[in-house]
Amino acid sequence: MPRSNPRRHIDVLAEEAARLLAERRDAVVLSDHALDAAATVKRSDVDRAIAFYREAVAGSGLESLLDGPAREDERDG
Amino acid sequence: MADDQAYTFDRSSLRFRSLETGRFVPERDVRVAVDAVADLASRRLGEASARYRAGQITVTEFQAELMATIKESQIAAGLLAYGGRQQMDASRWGLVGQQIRVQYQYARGMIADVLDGRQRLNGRLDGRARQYGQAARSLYENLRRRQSAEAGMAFEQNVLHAAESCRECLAATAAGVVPIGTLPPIGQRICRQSCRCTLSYSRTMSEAEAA
Repeated sequence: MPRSNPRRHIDVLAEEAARLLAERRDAVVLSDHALDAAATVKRSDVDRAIAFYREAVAGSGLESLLDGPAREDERDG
Repeated sequence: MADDQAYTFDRSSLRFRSLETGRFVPERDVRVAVDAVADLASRRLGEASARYRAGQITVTEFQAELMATIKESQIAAGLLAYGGRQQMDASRWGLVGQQIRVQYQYARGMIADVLDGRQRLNGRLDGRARQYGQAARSLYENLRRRQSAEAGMAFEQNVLHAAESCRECLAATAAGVVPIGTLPPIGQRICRQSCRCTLSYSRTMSEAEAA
């Protein structure tokens, strides 16, 4: 049975950890293309933003300030 | 007090008007609403960061919450600046989308810093996350500035609101009434997204002096 080299074993573990961390980073950090797509404003985003606004100003008397029908040129989705 | 009133937006004065009373909504009320949007967004983002640090959510979930809150608060600020959904067109949505993209880029940098260990997982991360909520205020001010210039406003003046201000905001205020586009934009001064200044606009110098 060959004798194991503890130093080599640690190096292999460190390399494996670095590889896993890099993979995780690449999986999480968004590409430019993904950012472009995510930043596009769609009709459902506007609906959510108006709900967010109503929550933010609840009790102020200005809850309905941004209410109103969506325009046809809002992007679907 | 619940509000079921309907509002319209007067394009000549660039102000909201109640359809029920015919009165304009005071600009200070709209700015209170902008502050409320920025503050809710900041609170949510600070809480999301704290949950991430506590191991209650993954980095992917933290990023998703960061991006959703940025988008909601930036759109709400854009709608407040432009006068609601009915005033929006493809060009205005494009501009709001560009600003969301800019904030997303910064947020991506923060997430990369977290993953690379450059951003420590302490209260500073919460503070950094909260700044993305405050960006709603500068978006509102900068869209209003653009809209005011398009509507023929020729002059601008910085108005301080914070108890303490950075030297750039103090200098902007000391400059008095200046041609529109002269002052450094809100959010791009030394105090960055912590800026509480507003800009007031006028068509003529005499109108500015009378205000």
